[in-house]
Amino acid sequence: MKNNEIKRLLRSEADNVQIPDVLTEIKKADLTEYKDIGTEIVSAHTPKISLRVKLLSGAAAVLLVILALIIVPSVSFDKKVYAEVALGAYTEFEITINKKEQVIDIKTSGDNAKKILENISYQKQPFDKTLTNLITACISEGYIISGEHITNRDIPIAVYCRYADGTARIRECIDEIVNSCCDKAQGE
Amino acid sequence: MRELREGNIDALDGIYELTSKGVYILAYSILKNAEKAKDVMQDTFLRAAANIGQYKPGTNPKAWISVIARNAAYREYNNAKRIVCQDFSEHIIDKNVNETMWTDNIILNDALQTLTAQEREIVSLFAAQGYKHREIAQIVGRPIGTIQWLYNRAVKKMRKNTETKKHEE
Repeated sequence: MKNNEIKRLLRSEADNVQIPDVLTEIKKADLTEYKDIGTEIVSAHTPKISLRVKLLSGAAAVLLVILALIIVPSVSFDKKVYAEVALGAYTEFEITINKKEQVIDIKTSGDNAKKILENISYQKQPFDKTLTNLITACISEGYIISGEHITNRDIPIAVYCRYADGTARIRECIDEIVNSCCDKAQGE
Repeated sequence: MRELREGNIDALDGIYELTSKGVYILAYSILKNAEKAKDVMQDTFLRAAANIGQYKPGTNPKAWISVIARNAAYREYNNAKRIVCQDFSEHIIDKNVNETMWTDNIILNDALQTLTAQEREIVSLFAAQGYKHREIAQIVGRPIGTIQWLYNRAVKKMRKNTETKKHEE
């Protein structure tokens, strides 16, 4: 049954309703007993909002705007690529980092790289820590052979920083990490 | 209304003829009981006649009487909820046995039974009595949007009930 059919049926049924007659009884009754009506028709429903509610909602709106101004830029800065580091150690990793030198993402090529990456948590982690973990894993898997004849220069690493001052600094940091990892592996 | 205001009680005849059906259906819809609806109807016209001075000329007299009827019906509805009936007989009496609807149509009757008092009230005002949503909002004292939403929900419930009944048959 459609909405209109229900409405039509209700209307026709309402037209046929037999109502009891109470008019004669009303006319005989004493009206003084029925003076407590207190009812009037208002022209339209207008919800009244108190000043307190208005002030509170205004304060809440201002607070929301301030929060948005704080949160949104920090989130977007965290995701903004500051530098890209490509590490080629028989298998390849492309690491993107933000200005805080936290890892945004690591892209891999090949199943071997994927396998290594499975055991490393890198999202929002410090770049130096992540790189140390990666190189250590590569050494233990045999992709980098640490020995006297192998230095950090044998691992092809490319750094591209979007800001001119950053490339040399990152490169230096990578050199330190690679040296320390190789030394550590050699010692073991 | 003007004549009634001037003290001519016979002027109530015209108002009664114009509004009694609507008042009865509205009261019946809320209370689901013919006797109680009759009492509310009597109460409504007595209060309207006694308080005719409160009626603002130029406003809708039908809506004014509907508000009085609605208040009287809800007063009765709330009183009925407060009264606890104790039955000391061994037989279990169905508490819904006195509940009926203003229509004899079985399909409509069943469908109306599925609604709440407020939904039945709005359905009776809109579909049965032909009030507009704006007028119902004035009578009920709620925003038009709420009235439309309640009406749509009520019709949806009724439609679902009729379809289920049809499917069972």
